[in-house]
Amino acid sequence: MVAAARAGDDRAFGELYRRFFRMVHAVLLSRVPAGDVDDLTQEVFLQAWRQLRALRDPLAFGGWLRRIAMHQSADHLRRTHYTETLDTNAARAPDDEEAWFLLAEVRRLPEAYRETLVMRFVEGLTGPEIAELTGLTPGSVRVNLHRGVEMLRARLKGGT
Amino acid sequence: MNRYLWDKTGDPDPEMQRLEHLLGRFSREAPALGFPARSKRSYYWLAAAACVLLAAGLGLRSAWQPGPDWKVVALSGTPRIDRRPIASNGRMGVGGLLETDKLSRAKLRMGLMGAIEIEPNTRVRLTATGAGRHRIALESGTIAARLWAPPATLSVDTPSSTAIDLGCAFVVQVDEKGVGLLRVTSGWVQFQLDDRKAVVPAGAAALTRPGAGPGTPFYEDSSGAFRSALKRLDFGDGGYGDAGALAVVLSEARPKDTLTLLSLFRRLPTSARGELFDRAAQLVPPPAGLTREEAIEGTNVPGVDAWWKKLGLGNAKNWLVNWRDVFR
Repeated sequence: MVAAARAGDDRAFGELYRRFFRMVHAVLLSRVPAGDVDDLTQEVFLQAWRQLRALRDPLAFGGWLRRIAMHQSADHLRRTHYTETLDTNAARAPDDEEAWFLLAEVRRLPEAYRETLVMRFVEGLTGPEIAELTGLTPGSVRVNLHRGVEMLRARLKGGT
Repeated sequence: MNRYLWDKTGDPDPEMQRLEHLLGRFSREAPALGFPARSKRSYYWLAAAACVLLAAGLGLRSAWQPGPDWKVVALSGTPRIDRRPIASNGRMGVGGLLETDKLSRAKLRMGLMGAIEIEPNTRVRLTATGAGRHRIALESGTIAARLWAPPATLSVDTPSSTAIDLGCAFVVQVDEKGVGLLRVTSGWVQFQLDDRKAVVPAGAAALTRPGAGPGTPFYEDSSGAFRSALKRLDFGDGGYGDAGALAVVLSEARPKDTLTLLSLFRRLPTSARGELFDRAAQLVPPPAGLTREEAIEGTNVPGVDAWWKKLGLGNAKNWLVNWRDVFR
């Protein structure tokens, strides 16, 4: 499919978009304010589409796309001088408050953990799916999930 | 390791399920699932069909929700929202007015839907957003919209016509009185005022005038005589009964300009459609199943539709094919 997209097959790229959307969304949501994620998701796929011919190994597409998302989020934070602004979100229900608090706590985790946890709990991906989409080894994903949840649990209990 | 955490098998873990429940609300489905089917209806009704089908509530709509406020990015100079200058970016809600002066440009970001670039000396107002239908009013100036969304997601009101995207990229330019131009760079756009409609494909343009609405679609590389005569037909005192203007249009038309000729069928009086048919048939022969009388009377819609298809302009609803143009 990557090879077809590289050859100019728009439908193949559309299929890649659908398949990797959640992964890219998670990478961005773990790094930038929620309100900016939609725009940046489009930017990531725009850049991927423009640079796809430069990708030598089609099997590395997921990892390559993830790196684009990471760079885009870093560039975005530099551009917007983002520090620790709260996501603006009017009229939150009590349950929403808890969700936003939880998301904020996840985002305070180390990078590898927060990204994997967002893929697992926000996007609903399983560990094997995360490994397949990101190009990370199943072992790394397993460690990230386990340690991430442990760390999150400690934070929520008032630990570190 | 907790199996449920790893691959959602084994006994559900209440703590994990709680995390899924709370954090799952931040998830987002890719908005490219389940595209509208291609229509076999007449090109004449394509635009209306697209609007109706989509307004009827395809569940895809929620995927193209930019939210109650649209993000505005300053591309150069100091654009203003509701008369307040914005440094780098800002937000505009329904009713908000975005203005650029001769030195400033801005971009309206529509989330996954696309973006609208606001050129210098432009005033644009966000008039409605929600439920997959979004509307802006271009009071004056120039905008360039690029959309990656189902047809009829965005409408642009000008003082003299309304442009409705059919999955596309386009430029609208208009002055305060409503004198303006629509130029389509990808896909199709329906340009309309009440019952007067122009369905404009990529590469073509249509004028608009106050009180009259949109003119007939044409290619800007057509001859000056052709364009001048077409303007007389569309907006002149003689209207579509101006036989002299029609004669020039017909004589100057190239095969490519059959777009204009076929678009004129619905505008010309029946008495003038015979010579229109003859010239169009010379340039692009009609399909075998369409007779001269049927074309004149408009009684063979599939036949006319097949003639349109012979122009090779693609399908107005096939917006997915044009999505990459959003990135150009």
